[in-house]
Amino acid sequence: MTNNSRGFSYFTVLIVLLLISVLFIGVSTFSHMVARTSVIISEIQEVKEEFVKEAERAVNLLCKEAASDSDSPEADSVHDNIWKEIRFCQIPEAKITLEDISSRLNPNWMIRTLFSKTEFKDLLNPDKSPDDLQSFREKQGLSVNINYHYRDFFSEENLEKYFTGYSYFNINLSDEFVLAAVFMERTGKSENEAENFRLNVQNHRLAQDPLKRLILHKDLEQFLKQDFELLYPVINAHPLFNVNFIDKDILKEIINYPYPDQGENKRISPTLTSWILDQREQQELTEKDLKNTIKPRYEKARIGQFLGAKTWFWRITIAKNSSALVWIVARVPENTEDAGDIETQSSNGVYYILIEERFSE
Amino acid sequence: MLKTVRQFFKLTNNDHGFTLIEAITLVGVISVLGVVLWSGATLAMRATTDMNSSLDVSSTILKAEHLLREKCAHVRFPFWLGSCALETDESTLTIFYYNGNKEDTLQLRFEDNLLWIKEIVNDPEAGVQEQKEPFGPFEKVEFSTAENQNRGFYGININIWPKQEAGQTEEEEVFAITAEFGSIPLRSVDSDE
Repeated sequence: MTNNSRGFSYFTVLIVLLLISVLFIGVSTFSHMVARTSVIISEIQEVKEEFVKEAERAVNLLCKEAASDSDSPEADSVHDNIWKEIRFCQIPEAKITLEDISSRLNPNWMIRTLFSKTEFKDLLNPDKSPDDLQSFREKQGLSVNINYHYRDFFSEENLEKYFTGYSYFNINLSDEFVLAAVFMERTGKSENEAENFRLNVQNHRLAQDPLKRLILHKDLEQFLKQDFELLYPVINAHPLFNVNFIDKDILKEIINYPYPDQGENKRISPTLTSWILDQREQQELTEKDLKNTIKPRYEKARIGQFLGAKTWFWRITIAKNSSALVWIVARVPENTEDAGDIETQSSNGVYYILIEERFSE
Repeated sequence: MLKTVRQFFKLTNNDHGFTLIEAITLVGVISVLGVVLWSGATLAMRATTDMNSSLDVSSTILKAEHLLREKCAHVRFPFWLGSCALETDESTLTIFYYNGNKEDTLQLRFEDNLLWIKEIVNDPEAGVQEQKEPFGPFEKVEFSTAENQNRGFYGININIWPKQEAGQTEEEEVFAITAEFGSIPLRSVDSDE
């Protein structure tokens, strides 16, 4: 049959058609796979864009809250309107959460005495001392990834509950060597210049007059001179923790800390802890409230550098099914002119800047 | 004459097989059909190959883009840094703070027409761990920093020129990819610079 010329031609046509079909199937399968991948990627992108819009809404709300014409621009607390408004997530079935992540201890800047003179020493793993932590920081540097970087010093549970990698470096409270390291990173200046900066900070801390031991916010620009623009707000003199959100265990230890500028006979009353905890349940606490309560020198004492009423770093999480977007935004306190697509500036010059984004699908 | 005509009809009306003319006609038809089919098949195959190669390029770039974005999202510069920590030479871009760790890096390298995406992680127990993946072949790959007025330096831009086929005269197509870092340093207050 195949030797017949007519039959042979049919066979040739069939083979060619078969070849073309196989090629066509191959190409269409491949293009289908490419198209599918492309669809999956664009779907992921769409979900992310939707989440980003929601996160931007949260930042706008934060900014609205910080604006001078809001109900309480001087403090952040659970009594603010933002907590009512933020619940109305624009994405069906998605959940949005807002969290103060700066009112925690930061192993990047903590001084030795904060461990040795408080119960915070119990947070350290049994084989580690505050000196070990300081040597480690000097050798290995700092990290925002505290769960990994400080895993030998603290348990996972403690790191999760009490610590953060996101808080500014208060010039009066941070370890001097850490301040020098940040100075070098931020300004790009030499080790000698960083050492001079450290000695200046140390001299302030060792001043005879306890009232001169602190660098107040109003004096910071003068102290940092030409480096102010590069260092601020990463190094600042604003109170670190927001009393409206701080964990009660941390609050208790911060209040019980034997501040040298308070004098031995002027220890802060331990009842302050319960007063703050009670008050914050009922109303928002402001720096003015703290000033009136922690008499006589809240402003010029070290506790006033620890306890304030503003949150500097927020974590915004938007989750739906297996997808989640995490934004970490920092509050930049001073007047700056620019505002952008993801930063929103309030009427009193406070603005938030996105510093970290994590998206998981 | 009559005899010749009869003989001819005897030949063509013969039921026992093909006549010479039938055979020649058949060979001619098959040849024409073959030529037509062959050229058709060649055209189809060329179109398929072109489409395949174009899809291949698109697919490779799509995969490279996806991986780059995923890897760059793991680059987490601490907010206190003065600027993003990068090192660059003619063909390599090294980005520090991969996973937020100063010593861990993400490296992009263009070598022998291939774009290599490589992560180098220092594991205290297992030592230095490298993981790399090649994409290509590409004619040229260029790296630059992605920055804007609002956020400053927030990621990297990569321009990819796919490899041109021999004799291809089409205008050069460039694929641009922007991959954002997971976290960036906080700008200083003098951000107008």
